[in-house]
Amino acid sequence: MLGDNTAALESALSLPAETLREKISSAYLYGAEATLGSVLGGRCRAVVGALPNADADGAPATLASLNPHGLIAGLLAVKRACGAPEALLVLPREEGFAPLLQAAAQADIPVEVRDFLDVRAHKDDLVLHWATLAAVSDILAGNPPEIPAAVGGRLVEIAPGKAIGSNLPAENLKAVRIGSTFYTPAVLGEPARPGLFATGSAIEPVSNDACIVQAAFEQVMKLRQKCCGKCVLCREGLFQFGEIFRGVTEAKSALSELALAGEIGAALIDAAVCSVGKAASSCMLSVLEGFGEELKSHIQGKKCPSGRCQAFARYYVNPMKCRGCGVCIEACPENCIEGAPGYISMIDDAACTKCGKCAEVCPEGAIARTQNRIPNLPRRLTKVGRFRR
Amino acid sequence: MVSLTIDGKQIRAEKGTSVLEAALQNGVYIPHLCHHPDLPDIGACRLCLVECEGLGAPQLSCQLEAQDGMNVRTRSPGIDRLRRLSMELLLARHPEDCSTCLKYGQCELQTLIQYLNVSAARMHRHIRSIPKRAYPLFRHEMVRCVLCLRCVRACEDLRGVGVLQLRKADLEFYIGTVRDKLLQDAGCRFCGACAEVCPTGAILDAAGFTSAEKNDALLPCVANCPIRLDIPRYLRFVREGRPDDALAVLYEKLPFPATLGRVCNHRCESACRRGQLTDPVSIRGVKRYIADAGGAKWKSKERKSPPTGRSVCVVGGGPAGMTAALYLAKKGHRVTLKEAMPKLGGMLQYGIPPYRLPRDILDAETACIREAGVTVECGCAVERPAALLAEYDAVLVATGAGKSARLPIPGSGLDGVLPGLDFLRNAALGEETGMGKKVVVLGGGNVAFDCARTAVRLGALSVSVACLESREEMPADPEEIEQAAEEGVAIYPSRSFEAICGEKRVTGVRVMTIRGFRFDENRNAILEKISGTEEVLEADTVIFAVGQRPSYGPECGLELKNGYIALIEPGSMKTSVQGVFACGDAVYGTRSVIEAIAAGREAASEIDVFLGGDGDISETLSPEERAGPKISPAEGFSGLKRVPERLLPAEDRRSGFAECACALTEDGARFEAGRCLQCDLRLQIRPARLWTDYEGKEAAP
Repeated sequence: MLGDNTAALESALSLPAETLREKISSAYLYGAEATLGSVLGGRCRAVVGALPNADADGAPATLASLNPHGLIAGLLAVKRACGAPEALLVLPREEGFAPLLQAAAQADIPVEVRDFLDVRAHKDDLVLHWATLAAVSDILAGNPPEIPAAVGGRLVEIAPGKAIGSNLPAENLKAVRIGSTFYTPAVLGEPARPGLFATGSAIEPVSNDACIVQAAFEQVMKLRQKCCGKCVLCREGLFQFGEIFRGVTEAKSALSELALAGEIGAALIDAAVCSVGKAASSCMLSVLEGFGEELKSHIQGKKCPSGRCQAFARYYVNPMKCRGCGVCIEACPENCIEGAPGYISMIDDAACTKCGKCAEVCPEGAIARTQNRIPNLPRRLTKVGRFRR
Repeated sequence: MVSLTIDGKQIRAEKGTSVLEAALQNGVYIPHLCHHPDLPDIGACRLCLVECEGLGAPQLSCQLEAQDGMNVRTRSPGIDRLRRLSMELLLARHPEDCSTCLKYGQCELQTLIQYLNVSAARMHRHIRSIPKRAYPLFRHEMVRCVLCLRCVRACEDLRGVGVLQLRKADLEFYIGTVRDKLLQDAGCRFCGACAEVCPTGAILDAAGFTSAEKNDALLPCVANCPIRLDIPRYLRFVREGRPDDALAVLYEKLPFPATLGRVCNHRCESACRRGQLTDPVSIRGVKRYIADAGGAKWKSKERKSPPTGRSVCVVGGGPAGMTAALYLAKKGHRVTLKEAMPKLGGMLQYGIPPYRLPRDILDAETACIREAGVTVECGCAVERPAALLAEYDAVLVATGAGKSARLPIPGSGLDGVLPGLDFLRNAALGEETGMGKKVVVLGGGNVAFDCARTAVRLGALSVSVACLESREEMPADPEEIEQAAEEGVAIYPSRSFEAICGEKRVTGVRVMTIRGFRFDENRNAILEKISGTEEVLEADTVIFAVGQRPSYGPECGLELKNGYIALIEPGSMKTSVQGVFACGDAVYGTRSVIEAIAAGREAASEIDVFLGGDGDISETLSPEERAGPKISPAEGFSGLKRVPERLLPAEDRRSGFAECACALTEDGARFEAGRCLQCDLRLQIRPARLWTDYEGKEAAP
């Protein structure tokens, strides 16, 4: 799959259509649980090879340079197998796709450059992932197709049935993101199957040091970048997802919003016509389902378990360490530290924006950050050394 | 046709129709926002969800083709929940300012909110501050936009213009233009399709109107035309290089297109919406071009009813009388037209000078009256019109207002004081006018300038026009005033006429400058004179052009009102004598040629009914085809300026009665027609139907 599959091209062109069809029916549909055979039956205007909008800039794009002839062979084979009058290759852009453009030109396949695939314009077409085309070419060349995935931005192949975790470090893991979907680390033990990559090809670890809500927020914002804006549920749903996640990380959220997020997610996953809405709703639903405790901890417990969300952090001056030098008072941009030479500094917790500058400048290391309860502190200005717990 | 069941109701629909359209066409309401019957569906708003037996999950009815035997339910708790969710999401970006919105009460979004009973309370609100923008004809208040993309599809798919598009900046979507240009600079054709389809108060017409006022507000050219000529239609034929068909449109209502193409007061142009961008379309100029260039293809379709055996006498061969006679003849009546002067035309023949309306043009057009079978008796004055009822079943008096008024000022009886119409009539007949060498015309209307410019052509050494009105308020057409000035006519506006000086023969007019004037309750002019401004305009001839009166007096046998023939029933042209009708200037005083033609048409229709006909004088002479909705973008369209009117040089004009204004060339006419905004295309778009317009619909529970 990751080598240029020139051999497949010949069989794609020479085999009788019926034989071809039988042969390639077992190929997987990348990102789905079904096989190619399940979609070859219907009539279609054209076979379109394209990357999903949600993953158009992901690692599978490198298939274009790794296996250009394989993609073309796959496209031609499917075209002949289902009797479609036309085939079309859609590229996200021209730069960096020279080998594929060349292969397409040799095979006389028309190419369209679109940064966003308008699914509505292809509703009578059979749109296939490049990885599916590569799998078809593997079958034609007599190799059992493996499943491409991106680890650390690099395309790798995983044999079907083999645990996907073999490519990842397994320590200190909180979650694994595949595409836009968040799984518990247990997923690493699962046998690889194409359906795991429904929302994208990337396998990324989320360590225990990371906040799952922040990670999900970033994922939603990436998808908002890609959203074309036509479908109400996707456009407005992604906005709400972003605001809900943001609210959770900023301690401005109520539990009822999780129910709303679930309702939008469930509606969007059914309604989405392209991968962007599917990926975003899957992102939301997977976090709600697998990481509900962490969400609730933010909302109800007022605590970010990983300590990443600044909104939940509190700064205080350790009265035993403070020497009353006043450096922190000068550094505070909010002027919310009270003190005097030789007195223990006091941070006004209500006005503190948790920027952490005071902690950075304190020569005694007396300023601490905590997610937990603040210990007993002086209630009025107290001379250094006079405070008793 | 296919047959399906929707909510238990059997309905039939054309094959290929969506379930949504099938339902709506059959009076079953399914909520929808992005769907519009004249635009391609995109299935974006998801309000039109339905359940269809055998298909499992809810389906978008706009994307589902109606098929035989389908069993569709438009409501279920599940569907209601999903619809409400979509609506809540949409409303998160829509401000709650219904009460201050111009669309209030006509807003589709507002009624959907009521129907679905939702608010955005659960959602994170998302109102962006987008400044309002005033364009010619439109207002953009895009803060209300819910991104249904109807305007984008109307602009792109319906019109082929593609100026409006869905744009994205910093994760935010908005409707804008390429590189966020102003509509004018982006190639917008100002057709109004976007405003028509916008379901809420985001793209609005600058001039608001109710649905009852809509047609007139959108086609002010037609609304302002007394005979409601289909102006956009004939302009379209001209643009397409089809003058024959354009001429047919004119002849459907206007028997004298070449004449009106020259002398019409073109109220259509003053109303033209194009005027709000640059200048109005030169509609009159295009009309003249059509009359010149169009062939007689229309004649084959002309109405000719079988003889009715009834007879009508029309008294007065001006535009009103000729028009009425023509249409009565077309309806099969035996028509006699009696005209006191030697030739047909009335004011067209004996009032408007030939340099504005060449007589060969006029005579060629009036020939249609005789061709239609009307018996024309010229040189035949009628003293008592009612007496004609002895010979005819009906009589129409259309004798106009042919007597010039004389102001009761000192000296108005001196030699050399001439009534304006007598002067013009004599000039037209080639008879002695009694004019000397120094002429002062009193009055500021078109007749005054006709007199002045005729005097120039008859060899007067000095000609001036004096009037009460200020230069800006003079009722004459601005081009008349301008051309007269070019021909050397001196203009003295804002002057009161104190006296005409002289012993036996006129020697001048004493005038004073006034600051302004008004009329009191008895219609007497109250002048605000400026003391010390008295001056005498030297003259051996003074021409009165200060208004006209009908020639009939009380002796005519018809009841009069303020000197005009009285009509006894509102909305009708019946006079005090049964069977005698009256119309035109004789009834309402001097107005325009086109109003006289409108009056003649109305009279013909009413008299036809009186004689037992159906009163329908309409004709279809032009090809019955619907205009294509596509207009494609045009860079610089909004800035296209009007083709300037070409005139003979003033020197050449002074020396004779040759026509002053040159016709538009074919290119010029097509260019002018091409500047038309085609406002009529918007009326092809089906207007919004709200759920309350569907029978028996109640809001969702």
